[in-house]
Amino acid sequence: MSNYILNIDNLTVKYGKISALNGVKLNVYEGEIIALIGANGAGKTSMLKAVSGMIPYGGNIEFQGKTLKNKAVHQIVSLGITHVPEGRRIFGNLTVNENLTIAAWGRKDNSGIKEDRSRVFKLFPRLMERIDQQSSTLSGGEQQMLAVGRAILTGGKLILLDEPSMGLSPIFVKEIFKVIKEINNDGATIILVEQNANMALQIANRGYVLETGSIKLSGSTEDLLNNPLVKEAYLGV
Amino acid sequence: MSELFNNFDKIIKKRLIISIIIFAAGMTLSLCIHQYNILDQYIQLVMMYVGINIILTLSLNLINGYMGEFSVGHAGFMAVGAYVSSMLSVRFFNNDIGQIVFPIVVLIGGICAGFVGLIVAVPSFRIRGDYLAIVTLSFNMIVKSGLENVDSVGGARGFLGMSRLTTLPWVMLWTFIAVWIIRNFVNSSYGRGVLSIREDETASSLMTVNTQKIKVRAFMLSSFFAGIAGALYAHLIQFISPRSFDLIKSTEMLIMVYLGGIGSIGGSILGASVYTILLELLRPLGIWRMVLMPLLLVILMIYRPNGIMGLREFSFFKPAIDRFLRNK
Repeated sequence: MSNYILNIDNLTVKYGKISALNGVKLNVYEGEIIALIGANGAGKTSMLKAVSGMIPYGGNIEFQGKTLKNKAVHQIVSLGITHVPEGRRIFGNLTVNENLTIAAWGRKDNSGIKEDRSRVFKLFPRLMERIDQQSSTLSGGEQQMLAVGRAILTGGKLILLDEPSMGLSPIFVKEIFKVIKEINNDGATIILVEQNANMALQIANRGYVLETGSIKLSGSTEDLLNNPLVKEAYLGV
Repeated sequence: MSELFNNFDKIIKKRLIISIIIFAAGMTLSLCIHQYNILDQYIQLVMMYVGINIILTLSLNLINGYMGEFSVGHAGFMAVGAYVSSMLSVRFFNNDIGQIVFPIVVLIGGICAGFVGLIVAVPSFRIRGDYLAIVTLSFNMIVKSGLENVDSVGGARGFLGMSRLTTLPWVMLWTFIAVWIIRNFVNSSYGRGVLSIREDETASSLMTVNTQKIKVRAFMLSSFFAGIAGALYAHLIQFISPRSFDLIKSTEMLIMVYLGGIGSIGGSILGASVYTILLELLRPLGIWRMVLMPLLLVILMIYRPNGIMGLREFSFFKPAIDRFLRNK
């Protein structure tokens, strides 16, 4: 764990006059799970959006030593950054199978796609049962499974997960987090944005606490879990 | 497992045979009708209208139905195809060769329309929203008033002199080609990209889909087929004028798309056929058919808001893998 996979330096994001992020610095090592926690409006989603090129930003973001500035979203994703956006955003009128097929759209390695496909079905047997079903008719949990399954099939080395637990029952949340850990064990680096700070810090290696656009705290998850500030504000202890 | 795959092979083989039979039967039938004048000339004419309208509807459905953008000026592309092919026929091949080079003339008409489609698409797909509707709307008007003011193509008086080269077999062949290409396009991985743009463009670009490129290419394919239809139309009526390609024509195409149902090949075929034939059947009513037709549409919108097929498809037009998955 010595190579940086992602380098964020002095990142600023502005929506009109309102600044969402001002001067954020963040490094991610290969193979880590990073938890990004913070209240609503702290800038967590903006940060992920900046990384995948969905919004313009100031400062610099480097992926594996190469700058991502001025690259289109699809180019950034093909470099190996997979972004699972907030609210899942599955293709509702298409079937589960079509959703998964589109996820591997830019990939040419057919054997790798096949492998990842069986990996998805092993992680989520439910998706195999629903393979020919229109995906808008899936339950919320199944839709989240599909969103994560798509991320696996897109095949990124770095996976950005925006609120994977949103609107899910506690059992589903546990299951999704278990899968995130498994994906990480298979070699992917993960940045996890979560409201559910307790769960996120339990599976992560390191964590960052964002507050109104800048990083308030960072460190190993044990430190954060024991930090009185974090305890009070985010863990509700 | 191997039994399943045998089954899959069987579906594909069966489908191939059915397609070949339908194609062969359609072509033979149309050739016979044309050669021996089995059917009344008028009925043959209506059949050709149906074929041309199917091509038009498919081409517009690719944009409005599969890609979820909104083009309202497809008659402009039809005009490009019609005028280019007519000019070629009249100016260069106004002799016996005309009959032989006719398919090439039609193809050139389509290709020119495709390139004009490229010019329209590049600026209008930079931003998502209603821009395409505005751009295509004005494009349609520009083409119409442009043609009205160019004397070498007849200006507002129109252009004539083409021989009647469009025959039932030709229309049949082009319709088969259009159905085949568009069906394979929307079911290819490229076409999946088109569908994902309709569903959620942001999510689609997060799956590495180059949405800009796909939108432009799909639009080119669509305008290509509109141009083909225009070329066939010009050599059927033997007279074209800017008025044949005004907004009313574009609206007619939209009606056929939404009548048949968006995002469906079967729907496009049904919509174009039903609309064309109904319009002919109601001809005895004279001007009243223009009252009855919208009324029928209103009724359709109330009871079948998605059109006849709306996002559904005959399983024949779906990829074989779908049925395979369903029967697994």
